[in-house]
Amino acid sequence: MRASRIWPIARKEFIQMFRDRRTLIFILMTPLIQLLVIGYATGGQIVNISLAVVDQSHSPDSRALVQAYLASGQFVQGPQLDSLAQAKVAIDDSQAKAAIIIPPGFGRSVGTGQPAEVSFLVDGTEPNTASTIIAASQLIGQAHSAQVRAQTIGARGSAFDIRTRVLYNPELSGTNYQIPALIGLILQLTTINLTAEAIVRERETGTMEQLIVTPIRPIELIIGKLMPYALASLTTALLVFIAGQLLFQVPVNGNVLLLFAFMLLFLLVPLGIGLWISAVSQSFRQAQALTLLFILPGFLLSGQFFPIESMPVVLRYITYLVPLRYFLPVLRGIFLKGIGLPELWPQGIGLVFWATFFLYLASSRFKKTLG
Amino acid sequence: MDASLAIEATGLRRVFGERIAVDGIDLRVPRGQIYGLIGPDGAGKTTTIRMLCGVIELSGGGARVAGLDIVREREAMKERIGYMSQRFSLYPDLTVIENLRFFADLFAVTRQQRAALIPYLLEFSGLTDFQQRLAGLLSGGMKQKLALACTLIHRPEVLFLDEPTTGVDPVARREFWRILYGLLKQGVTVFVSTPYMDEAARCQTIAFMSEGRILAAADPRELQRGLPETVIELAARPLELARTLARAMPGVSSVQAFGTLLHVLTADPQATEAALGPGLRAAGVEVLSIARTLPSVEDVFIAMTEKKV
Repeated sequence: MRASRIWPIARKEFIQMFRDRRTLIFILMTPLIQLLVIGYATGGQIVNISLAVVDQSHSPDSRALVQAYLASGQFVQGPQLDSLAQAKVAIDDSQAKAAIIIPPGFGRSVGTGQPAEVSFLVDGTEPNTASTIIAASQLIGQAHSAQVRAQTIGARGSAFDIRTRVLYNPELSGTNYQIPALIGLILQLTTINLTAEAIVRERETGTMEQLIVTPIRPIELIIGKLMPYALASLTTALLVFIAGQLLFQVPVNGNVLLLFAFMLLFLLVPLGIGLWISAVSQSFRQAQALTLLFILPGFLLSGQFFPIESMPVVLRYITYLVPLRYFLPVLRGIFLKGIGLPELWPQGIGLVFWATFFLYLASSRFKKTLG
Repeated sequence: MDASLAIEATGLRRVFGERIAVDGIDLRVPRGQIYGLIGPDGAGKTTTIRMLCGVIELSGGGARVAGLDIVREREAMKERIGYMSQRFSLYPDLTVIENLRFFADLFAVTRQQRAALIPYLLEFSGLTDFQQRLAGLLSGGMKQKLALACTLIHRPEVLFLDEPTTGVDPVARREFWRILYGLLKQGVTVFVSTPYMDEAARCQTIAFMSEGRILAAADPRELQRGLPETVIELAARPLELARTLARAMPGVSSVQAFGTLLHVLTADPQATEAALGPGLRAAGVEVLSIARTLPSVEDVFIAMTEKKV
């Protein structure tokens, strides 16, 4: 292996990458657009939820509770109704996303310090929204009841406070959960896309034939080609990281260096996959089809949008075949929980395994002849 | 092996699935020659060249190119050869000079060699003024010359050219051959495939290839002289009718159209000549001229393929 033959390849790829403006913009812009869409769509907070109110208590306490919900900014006043049945109809008709039902005896129970029950109806058609509403309803309700209790009980002289705390993601922000994972998704997407085309492009333009008659060795060609793409992918990942900080203030609670070390390790996996695709594909079309085959499961089974814990058992085992599923806990762990190697080493082993597997597979399929 | 040979192949064979592309051919190409591989599309020319350059694997046989075994010493052999494939295969998004430098880098051409060679290659290919132009924006003839310049950057001993002038205009073709003769003077062996019979006559040795086999290999003039048939050149109107009628004349083995002329191949020229003129006129064909002529390379090739069948 000679650096004197790797460098010309890498330089050529760089020139070609910068000269192909459209692809370059695609490489840089797509992740940012994804970041904005996912960042704002999964939304920091879900706001403007129309809340139907069934206040059967008509007491100052019940009005104060409703007020607490509206004051949170997440709920807006929906229809005022008289019964549970009416509330169901309102949700059926999409006049409201949620309903609060305060029973007749609520004011009295609160006044005497007895447990009071308040029901909350949530439209479950959109699970993501629903879970956010549920979380918000409990959080606000508990906060308010704690306040009320503190006041009433405090008046009797035995002060105690109830503190409900949501760990790791106190705002229950979807953004905080999704953006770290997005870095993984983007690293995978850009890298597979770019490397899958790397060798196929030479085949399609006929330049592969010309490269074969030079003294370059397959490993030199591979490394020379991968360097620019790895660098491009890392740059986009960094862009997403920075944009995530600036636009969505996603906290990094763990070690940033460890984060980047894991990024580099993970990068080897999509590089291997892309290279393998490139080695076995005869045309762009084939390469694109194969790329989709790898990216789609990564999307669905990685735990990015659908929690692995809630998948059927069989599917849960299948997720072990998806390299991204090892990387997402690392990202979320370092970002949100601030954990490190003591907790994350099993994920590291999973990544090392898949990186070795795909790189070996790719280089064994890569021969320096056309057939 | 014979050191005076640039290429020496025995029983070279390549099979693609069921199809035999190259059917055990022998080649002996002396150093310092322009050697032409002539044959129609699908004859196996490209497969032969690709095997000799180490681009594809062999199904059988073997060869030595520039003194090295093309299987066992493949990578070392590649440093001694230049190969220009049929398609224009340089990087269209790199400039002329970037393409040249890229191949110079891969072949580890030293700075001193480069300083002398690059201006020379640009000069002879007429690309000096187009150094900064993207290769994809060059004309067909210029692309071809740039591809040639790139294959010469490491001073190869043997140059393989696969149909280098296909799709290039006649002026550029002549220019290209002028360059090849220039290389010959520097001692480079040129192995060129072409479907153009007129180009075959420019080679010192030609090998006729058809359906994966070599029918004959010799000096083109020798082949022309050695043809047992006589060629009668005929100008007549309408051409198609004349052609159909001529085929049925005594002694005629084949009739080929060359533009507005017909070449009638005959084993019995006297009988054919006696019958041809009157026969055509009787059928209402206007005969403009009838004369014996020297066989062209194509006449020889056609005579050989017909005999084989």
